[in-house]
Amino acid sequence: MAEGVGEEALADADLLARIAGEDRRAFTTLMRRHGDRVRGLALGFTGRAAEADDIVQEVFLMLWRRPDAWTPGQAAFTTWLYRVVANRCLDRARRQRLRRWLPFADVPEPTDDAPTALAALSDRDRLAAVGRMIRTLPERQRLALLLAVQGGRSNAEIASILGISEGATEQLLVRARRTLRAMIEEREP
Amino acid sequence: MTRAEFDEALLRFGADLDRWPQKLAASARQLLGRDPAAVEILAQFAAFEDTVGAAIHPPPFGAAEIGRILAAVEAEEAGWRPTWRFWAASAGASLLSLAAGAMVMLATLPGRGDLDIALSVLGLVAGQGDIGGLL
Repeated sequence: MAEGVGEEALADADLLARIAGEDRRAFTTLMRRHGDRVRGLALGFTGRAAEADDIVQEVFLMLWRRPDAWTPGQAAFTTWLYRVVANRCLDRARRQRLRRWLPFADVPEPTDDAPTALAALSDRDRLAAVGRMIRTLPERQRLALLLAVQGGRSNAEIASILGISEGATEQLLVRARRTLRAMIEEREP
Repeated sequence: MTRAEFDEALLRFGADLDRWPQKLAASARQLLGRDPAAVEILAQFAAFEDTVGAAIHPPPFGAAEIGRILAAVEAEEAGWRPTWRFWAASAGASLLSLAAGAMVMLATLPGRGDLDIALSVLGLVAGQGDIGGLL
């Protein structure tokens, strides 16, 4: 069996064991397997490709340096990985909030779209406008929504990723969806 | 289940009834079977979810992204990292410093007479000496 094919079939735990031996091929396989979800969550949260790429790089470099950071049996690797990404997103948001208090801060606010009716926009611009609306949601609501819609995670998994109860997760999702729906309806009567 | 309860459950669990708790999903299906307005609510919510899903659909993570991360790994590993030689040299330098410090201390110690006085004072403090030792 060719080595590459074998690695595609390996479980995450086996890939991580190989990464511990500095196996770049296993590392590439792991990135190929999980890169979409890591980048998807980071990009959905930040809305900025460069910032999302930084988070992706930080997360995978951490896995390269410390492949034993995940303990098998405690949580599924994907759940744990989402938790790492979610924490990085929240950390960055926290640092940005702090920087805004500094007198020399030069952190541009995310540009919001002008209050144009969504129906007047092209499909692409309309989706971009909805994306910006999502990024106005409070951070934890935003993460819960992204994990549910984009990651296809169940409420129980989202609770585990965010380290909160299932009931609290449902409340985050209810608020996020209700707010977002109202925003879209307001702009798209 | 009422329409309002159905809408609340949609907000909690999403438009895919297969992902709802079983009893709740069964109640929702009963409502959908008898109430066309509930069917419309579900259709609108599914469209809302589709819009949200499309709005946050990320570009694929491909070879370029993987290549960038591998390059970062290479750059990191090409940078300076302490080797066993570094640690051995550090340990040797520390020992040399200690030895040099000890030699300086010995060279600048007070004379024997001063040492005797100091030892007597210490003895007195400890209650094991007499004042005559100081005279």
